[in-house]
Amino acid sequence: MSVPFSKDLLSAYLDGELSPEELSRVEERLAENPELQAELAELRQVSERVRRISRPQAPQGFHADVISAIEQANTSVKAAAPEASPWSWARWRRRITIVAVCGVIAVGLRLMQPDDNPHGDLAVSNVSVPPAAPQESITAATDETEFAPGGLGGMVASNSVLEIEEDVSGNLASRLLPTNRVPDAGELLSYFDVDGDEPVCVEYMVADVQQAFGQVQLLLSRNGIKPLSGAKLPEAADGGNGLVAIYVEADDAQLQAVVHDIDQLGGQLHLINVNDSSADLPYLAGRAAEEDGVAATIDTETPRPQAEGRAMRMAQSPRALDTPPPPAAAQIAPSPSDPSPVGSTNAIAVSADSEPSAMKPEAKAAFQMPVENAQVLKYKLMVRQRESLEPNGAAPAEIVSGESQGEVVRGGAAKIPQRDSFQAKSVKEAGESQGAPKRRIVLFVTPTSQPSSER
Amino acid sequence: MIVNADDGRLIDRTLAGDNRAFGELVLRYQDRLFGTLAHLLGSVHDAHDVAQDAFLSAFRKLNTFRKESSFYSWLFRIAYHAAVSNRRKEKRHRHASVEGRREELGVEPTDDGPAHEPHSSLESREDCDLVRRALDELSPEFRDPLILKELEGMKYEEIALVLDIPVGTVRSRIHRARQELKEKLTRATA
Repeated sequence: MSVPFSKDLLSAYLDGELSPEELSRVEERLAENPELQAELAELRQVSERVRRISRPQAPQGFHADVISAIEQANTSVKAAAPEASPWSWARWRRRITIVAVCGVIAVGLRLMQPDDNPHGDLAVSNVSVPPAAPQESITAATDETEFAPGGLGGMVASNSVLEIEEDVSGNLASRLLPTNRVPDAGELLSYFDVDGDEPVCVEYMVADVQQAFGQVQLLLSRNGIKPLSGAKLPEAADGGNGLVAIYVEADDAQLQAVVHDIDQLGGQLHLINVNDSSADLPYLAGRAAEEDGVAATIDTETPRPQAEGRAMRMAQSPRALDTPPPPAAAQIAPSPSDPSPVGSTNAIAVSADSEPSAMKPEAKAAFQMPVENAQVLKYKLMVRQRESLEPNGAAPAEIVSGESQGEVVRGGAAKIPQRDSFQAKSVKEAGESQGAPKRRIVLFVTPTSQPSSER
Repeated sequence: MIVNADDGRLIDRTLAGDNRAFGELVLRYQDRLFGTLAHLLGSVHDAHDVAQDAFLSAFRKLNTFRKESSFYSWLFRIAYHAAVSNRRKEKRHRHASVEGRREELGVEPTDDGPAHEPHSSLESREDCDLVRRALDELSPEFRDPLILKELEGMKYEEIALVLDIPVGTVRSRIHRARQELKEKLTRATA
């Protein structure tokens, strides 16, 4: 049976890439077809012209640049043999992504320093962040998925953030390839690595945390939640591992609107009820005691989570929602003017400036707004926060995120409280309270995945 | 072991902690890698960044190099992936800005160092520029396999590995690239 002829065999013929059968077939056709011979000659000429083009040499100083980069990275090659049981590609990629995401949060918080705060009416305290962190937030994407800038300050993240499997304390800044400039928001930086003999690339999209923060502030203001005036508000980084957090005190209707708007922005929102976990939010506890005597408190009956490597422990205390926090709790909270400890949450405090609207059951539906992938990412980020706070005596916080109600937290021992239960308690609480049914919470704005269709 | 014996010794010395040995590997392959990257990316500046990134990455992961291929092949695969990533970044930049910042090799030759010009005649240089520009007009889908073939001298199978496409696709793309290039060059000189 003769081999079918196609013209791309001509190029393969030029390149000596034909099988014996194909070679015979091509030579047979060439012998009987002068036009084909001419075509082959043209292809050969093109090939030769391409081969003749000059190839720029590496510029002077290139070698020195490489050596310098190696030395700057303080990197050494370990002669240890590769791992006996190599990671699968997906698992390996996930590992890098997780490192990246944690690094993202670390470097992103840098933007929250006072000088960078666009809101002049917000007083802020000192910020502790890793000194090596660049002044941008960087989120990670794998080389298999591209992400378009957008949403909250262009913050995007990979869908491949699945679970924490190892120490993720790696410093992203040092892993990034050398750059002598501050990257622009939306810019992709790359980190190259090798998995065995497989080169892989992880891209980091630079996100403008300040822009994201500003957008959220705008939403809060638009919905009647404005910054406190005249108060010295703390802002701190949780050791470079936390989230962009905004403390608010608002009623459900206000929060519903904010939740909805943030969702429209393509962001994700995590709400943490802080009524029972003041140690997580020292400022809020102190502020509450100072302003209206309704202080947050540590739920001393709730066992503190113990660190289990990277295991996630989202302990919670539903009971605390029903329990009025004792005013004495304020004593254990640092003063708002105290320097925020390293490891505390980066926060801006805001409060409602208007009377809360009536609690309507339908309004709470906003809390149930599904946000894809938020839960997974939240776990990652919350773990970082949790671990950084534990040394300071943090009590478990209750997660009242808008999704994944009732899910068992992977790797941990607690459950996310049921949404229905939460709402019922809220209504009950509102009915019994003479004051406004405000709920002190923390809004955690996290990156949202926005995979583009481009590949 | 496929790796060159000299390369192997340098790799072993590097793994033993002698960073100067890796410096020798850089010297040995920097021009070859840089030259190919410059044509893949159409920019000597991008080639500089990508080549540097590739060497640094190779250094960091040298202990994972299994010596089942030549060091340069391994390095080049790292560099190629870096180049693809660079292109994506460039694409975003071009989308984000009106003009973009990519400079074409043929229009704006390197200012980072002396370009190697083996053909001193004006005619040869002009033809090289013509081919460069035509190459740059090809989509990466077709340009990459052609450059790997013509400039790197890779076999189809090697190209398939680097580009992660079937050998048959490599063959058809190289042929298509040559045909398109021929048409572009014909139009340019008409």
